[in-house]
Amino acid sequence: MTRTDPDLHAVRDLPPGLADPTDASVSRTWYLLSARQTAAQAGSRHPLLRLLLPIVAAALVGVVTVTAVNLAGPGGVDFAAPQIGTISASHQPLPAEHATHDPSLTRTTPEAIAALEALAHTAEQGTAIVTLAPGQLIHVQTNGWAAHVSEGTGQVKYQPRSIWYDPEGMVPLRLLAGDRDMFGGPRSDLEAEQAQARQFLAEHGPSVLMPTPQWLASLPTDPAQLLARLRGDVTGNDSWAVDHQVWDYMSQVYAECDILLAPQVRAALLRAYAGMDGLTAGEVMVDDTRLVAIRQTDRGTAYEILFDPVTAWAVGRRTIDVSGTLNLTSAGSTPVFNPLVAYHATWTQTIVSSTDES
Amino acid sequence: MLTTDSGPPEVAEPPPDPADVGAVFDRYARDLLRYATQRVGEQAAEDVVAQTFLVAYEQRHRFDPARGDLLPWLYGICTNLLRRQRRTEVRNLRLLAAAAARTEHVEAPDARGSERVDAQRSVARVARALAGLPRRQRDVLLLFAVAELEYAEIAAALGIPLGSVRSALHRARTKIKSALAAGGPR
Repeated sequence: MTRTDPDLHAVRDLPPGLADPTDASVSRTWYLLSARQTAAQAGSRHPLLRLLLPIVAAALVGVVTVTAVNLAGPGGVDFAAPQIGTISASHQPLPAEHATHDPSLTRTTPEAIAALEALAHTAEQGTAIVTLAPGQLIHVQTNGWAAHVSEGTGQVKYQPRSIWYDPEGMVPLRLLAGDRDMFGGPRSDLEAEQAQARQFLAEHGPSVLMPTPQWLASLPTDPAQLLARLRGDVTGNDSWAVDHQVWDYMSQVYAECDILLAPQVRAALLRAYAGMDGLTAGEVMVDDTRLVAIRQTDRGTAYEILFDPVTAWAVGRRTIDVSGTLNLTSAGSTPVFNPLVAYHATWTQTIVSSTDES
Repeated sequence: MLTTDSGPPEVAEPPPDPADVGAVFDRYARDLLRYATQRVGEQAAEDVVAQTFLVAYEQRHRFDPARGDLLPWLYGICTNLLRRQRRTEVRNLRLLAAAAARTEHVEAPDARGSERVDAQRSVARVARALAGLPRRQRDVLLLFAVAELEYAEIAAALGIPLGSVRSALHRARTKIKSALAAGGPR
């Protein structure tokens, strides 16, 4: 308090005895913010608005990484400690032609369609089907790097995350950032937030926003029907193209529960994407391991989903500023990113019995 | 050898990204709650502040760091939202003035009691004066006195010229000073 004139002091002291905001007041405010955003989502969804759900936000804030890829168990890829030398990427340019379905986007390239078909062919050869027993959870170990953006400049830092999801709606139950419990702290009211998320699920049902194992299993395997279903789930936002929102939401679905996808549904999803607009193809090399990158671009923002070409599993995602307005710097010497991106993450998913198990 | 107890100079933490709602909330929620609670009470303040962060997120592309910091911008949104609560704010001030005014005719039994009575009389006068201020003058005064914004920050927050801030603040402070002086030594 730097202004001590008597009149200002008198104004500031009204009403007498008013204390500083309590932790409870701060928590209630955060809860209100979350609840209000959830209500808004029912009618208008934006790719980033889910970040306002605190438990999901905490799970997503700066997820990132990649490491040596070691293919293991169904739906999962095991990543060792991030001892990576180089993460390099190459990607085809956006085509000049506009899409016919949504002229605000570019047409999906033949290369992207071919890459998706190759992945779909691989996916449908799979046999692994994960069935959850009652009470089982999904544990996702995510390694990544995220840009902390300020005034047009982002410093890319390593940020590990370990998340346990209730598969009914993919409600986060526990979140660790290294050893730090991200659900602790003054603005955390975990029980209330989880109850609110479950109420949202009960009221609106499962969708691409809050998938359940039953919802994933019920998805149509006809690519056209499937794409129509996904597009129907994300309508109502004029700020971003529908296909951009579908891609963003699907990247989150993969990040939470790729392990639950049955081979036929996985293949159908990949073929459904071929009907979307704005997709291009590329590859990401994590040292010597090649991943297929399918990118959706809407104006200056591009989201990539990274697929393992050996299994067709989704194993990571990236955010790229294609407008060129974001100046990125690296906070560490390794790995060397070529090029540096705003967000890069890969994950490992396992089925566990409790939040103490990983 | 000279020694010092002071540690290394503090490095200002960079402002959070407006798109990172959690980080923005963590940094500024208490400031906004303190400001809004003083104006409309705790319950309404929580509602207004939650809405402030929602609006800020939805309009984050309109935030221009070249025109000022994030916190004054948030205060501007919050102040605009508080205008919907004008009746609540004025009613609270009048209730406060009325409650404090009950002491106007109380005779203090001793010196300490006399100080307390004088303080309550001041509260009544300031609350009454605040309730009577035009909306803009009250906004400017509270952003200056409670939020401790600079003139230019208030101008940016409210979207008004710097000169208007100066004149509104001068008029508001004059009225508050007059209200305080009206009590004078008894």
